[in-house]
Amino acid sequence: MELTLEQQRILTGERGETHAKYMKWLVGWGDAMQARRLVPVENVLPNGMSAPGRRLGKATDADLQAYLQERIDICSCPPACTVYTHIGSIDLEQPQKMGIDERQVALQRKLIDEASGSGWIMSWTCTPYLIGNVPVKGQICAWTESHAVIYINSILGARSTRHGFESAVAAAILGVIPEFGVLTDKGRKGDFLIEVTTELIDVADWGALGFFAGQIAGLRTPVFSGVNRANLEQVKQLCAALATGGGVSMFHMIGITPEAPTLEAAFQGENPKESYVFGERELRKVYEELSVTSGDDVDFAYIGCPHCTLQEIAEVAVFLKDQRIANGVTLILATSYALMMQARRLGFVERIEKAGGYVMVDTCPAVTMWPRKKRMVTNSVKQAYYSRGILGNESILTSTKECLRIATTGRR
Amino acid sequence: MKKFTVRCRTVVPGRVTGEAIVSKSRLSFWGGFDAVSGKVIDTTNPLYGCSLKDKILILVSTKGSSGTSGVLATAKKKGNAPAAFINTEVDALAALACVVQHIPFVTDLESDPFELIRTGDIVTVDTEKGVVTVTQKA
Repeated sequence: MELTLEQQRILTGERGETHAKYMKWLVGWGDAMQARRLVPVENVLPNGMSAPGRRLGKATDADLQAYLQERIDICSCPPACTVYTHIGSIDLEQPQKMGIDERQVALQRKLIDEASGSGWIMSWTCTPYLIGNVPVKGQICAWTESHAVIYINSILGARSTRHGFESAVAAAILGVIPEFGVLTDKGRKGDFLIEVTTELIDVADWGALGFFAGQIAGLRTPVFSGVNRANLEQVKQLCAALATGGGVSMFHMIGITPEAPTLEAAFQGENPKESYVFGERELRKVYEELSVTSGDDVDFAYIGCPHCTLQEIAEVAVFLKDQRIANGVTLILATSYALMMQARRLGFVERIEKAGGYVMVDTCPAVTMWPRKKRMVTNSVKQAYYSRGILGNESILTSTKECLRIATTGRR
Repeated sequence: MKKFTVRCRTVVPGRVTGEAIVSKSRLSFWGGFDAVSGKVIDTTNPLYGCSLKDKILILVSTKGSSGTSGVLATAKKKGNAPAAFINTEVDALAALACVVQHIPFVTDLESDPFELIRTGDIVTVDTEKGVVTVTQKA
């Protein structure tokens, strides 16, 4: 990579060891990805900026202290641009509920203290675009959260490659990132076509489409035709499932993606070389694949992957108005602290709690690795897929309404 | 015992020898690999239950979550990380993890690694020479 004089100086340690280490990561990563230069970044979303919860396994005080110190050092540095944080590993409002001890709570509060003096926004959500961090078309971003990367590239027209903890932290402090992939015009070209011939009704149907397309895509960019309308909750599921089935950075949906008013625009003037159909049969197959179970009794219903919108919280509250969650069933809704507070004021949280549900904030079951139940029902492809390995439960993918109905009966 | 050498392209430099583990699939390290045990936990992946500790990991690519580099950082600290990556496609997240954790990573082998290498073969990745050397298991 070609570096400016200033960047070379940082690399050789003129701004201290920490900055040199971050620059080394970015330059090494740029070389690995065949980038030619570093470009300024305006909006960063690092992950891993939270107390660790259970992710270290059995952690000694010394382990926790070292983990915390690394993060304090990072978030006490004034960020070079807008920085929000990705999902955390504990629910800071009700930590005892998920068996998180006082040491971890103290760590989380310490991070907030440090960040309040430097300007880091400890948002702890996978959907920062729901709480005011909405990048503008063309803005260069460095986001982690695989579904949110797809969302801002494909729905908002902003630009971010898939980032991890180290590259996002380095970007937040140094204000630059290597230029490759979807940051360039050429890197945003569609690779293959998926014609959608079935109606997508529930948000879980959008997840099914995403999982199907992600598996075919791998690291490539799918182009969807045949879908003329979409809403926020639907594309949220589409993005999350694309990032689960594959390692997609963006998609084009003709008429919806800002850069894809037409098929020609999505393929940048070339003809699609590969095309697939997503019909009723393909839709059913994803549901079957993600609903392999040994029984019909359900003890866990989960909504909120990615974190719920206010609309989704409202819908659950209304559904549960005169209902109760069945004995032995845990219902969890996960969202950001910001939206939970709004939903609490509006009475939605109280209704959900009265029916026996738990509104989790800052984290989610897969990230906090809790609860350990036998069989989960969810409207999220991502949580259905990952919870099997992380939480060890069986999982069933179904519509939002069906998830809630099952939560009130305990049976599929 | 057959031994052969093929040229490759360096993604992340380094030299290491280890036992190959091969799967023509994509894997998310977050949610698909447990850094504390060193094993694959993605129930749908062909490597489910296998340890990746000190292995030369031959995959199509990583996929999925942005947590991949963080999980590999924890795995490295606990001594459970793979020794090298040979992937036929380069996911930015695996590349990042390998840069930060000093794990050699190569791609674009002059022959298809899924034809060439079997699980259990002894493989040396040497980016200074730009080659991968495979010693087939008996």
